[in-house]
Amino acid sequence: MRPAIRAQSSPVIWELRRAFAMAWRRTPTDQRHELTIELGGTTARVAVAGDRLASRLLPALAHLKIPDTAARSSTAGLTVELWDRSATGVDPPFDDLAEVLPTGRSFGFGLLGEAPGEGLVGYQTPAACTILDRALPAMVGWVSDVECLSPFEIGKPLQPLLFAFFLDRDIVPVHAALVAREGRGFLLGGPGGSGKSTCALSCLHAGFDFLGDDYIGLEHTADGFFRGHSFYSTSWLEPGHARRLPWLLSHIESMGIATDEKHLVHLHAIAPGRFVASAKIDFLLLPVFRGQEAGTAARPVRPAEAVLRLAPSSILQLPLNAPEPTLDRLAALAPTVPCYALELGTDLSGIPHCLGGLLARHGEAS
Amino acid sequence: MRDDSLRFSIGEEVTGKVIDGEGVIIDLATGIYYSLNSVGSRFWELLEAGLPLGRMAETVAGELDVPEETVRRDLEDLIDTMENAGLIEAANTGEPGTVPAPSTPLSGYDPPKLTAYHDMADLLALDPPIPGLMPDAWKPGSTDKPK
Repeated sequence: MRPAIRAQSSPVIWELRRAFAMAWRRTPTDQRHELTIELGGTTARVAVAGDRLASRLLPALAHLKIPDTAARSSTAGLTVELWDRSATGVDPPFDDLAEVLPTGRSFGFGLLGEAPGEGLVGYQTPAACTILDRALPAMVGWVSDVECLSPFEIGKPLQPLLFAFFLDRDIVPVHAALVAREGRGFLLGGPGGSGKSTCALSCLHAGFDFLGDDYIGLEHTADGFFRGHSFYSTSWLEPGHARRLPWLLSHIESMGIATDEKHLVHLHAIAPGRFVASAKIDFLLLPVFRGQEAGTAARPVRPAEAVLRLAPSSILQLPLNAPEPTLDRLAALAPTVPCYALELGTDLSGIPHCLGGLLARHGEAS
Repeated sequence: MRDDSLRFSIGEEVTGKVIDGEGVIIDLATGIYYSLNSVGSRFWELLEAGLPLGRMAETVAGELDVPEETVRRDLEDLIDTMENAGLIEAANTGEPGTVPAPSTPLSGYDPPKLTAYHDMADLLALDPPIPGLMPDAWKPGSTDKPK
């Protein structure tokens, strides 16, 4: 539930915004970066003080950019303000999140802090600290050392606070991929290794619209349909995985950010015309590798089977997701759309063909 | 044999839903998730409604025209399994509920079946950087960098 609107910032946010304003003033004009993006149907204005910081954080969100003319006339429903502490020399008003918010739960490489009564949630890692004022709403934070940002923070910036912002708008983040053709979306569910990314990337290569290959915001719209919202335009690829997608290999070498096990790839730079901010969901697909030579085949599955594959990782992997609303949202979606197990063969070009066949089989939008 | 009046509550870390006559249950504490067949899902609905054991067996026996002894035996087996898994616990608190209409009509009687899936930790581990599953979170003040 969205917190009640307050007339003023909380003192913590006020102090942070004051520090950001100082950092902004100290940053040379040509190193100030502003990006207006669409997030779950809301306009968000992102301001980053510092070249290096902007180069790390903004590419994963660039696909959501609103054209300048539209951006000038729209009212921001979220402001995001971030500064590079080392580049600007501006110290934050506190060093540890625990000084201002009760902390406890860990998430990824950092700690979550929450003050539900004040509508504040924060996240701190070794490199960065950000707080979301859910009532305003505004997100403010700093990065101590850009070089210490983890691949996770670069590939999925502002997570998990961005997900909290979506939850406040009744858009539930789920662990799934989403591609679309002709405005009809295929939500690809399943845990890591099931083939979500392979399917989504194969479809991107075949000309489908791409909305994400691991996290999607799931909205139940007023007209009774379901809509998926894009978060990030990045993908993680294992070396073995990448070999199956040779068209990506050169990009991985030139622009990927490597961890020990995976490469982070910015897909928007590769196929900038194939991203949309949201799409209606018309199919729920559950990829599974079979390796058969016959190619990819779609087998109908029961709605409960689809939810069983989608819900656990969406609930267990995303700590700010309340379990019941997440399960309810997926349980409401599954019976309304055709659900299929997508049995993947060795020829990945068969994946988009198979999805095209489903579009033809189910005629106009379901 | 347990007392007819015994009722149960769903664990605080457990969430479940019946979808088209099949149940999906997730234990947030352990990461284990479960499916329930149609009769098991009907029992879950009755259990959620706070019905006592005897009334649950009587209800399903009546809905499917099956001997109550058979249903009662199968129900007790299911209850034992769910209790041992930590999904429910005996809790005779509050007022007994009334029988909810089945969310999906039952087509026939099969003994209730709970299937457990233990693969979530392994599956989540394939999606780095494994948010929420890091064994030792970084602490402010620590000089350790993320690995």
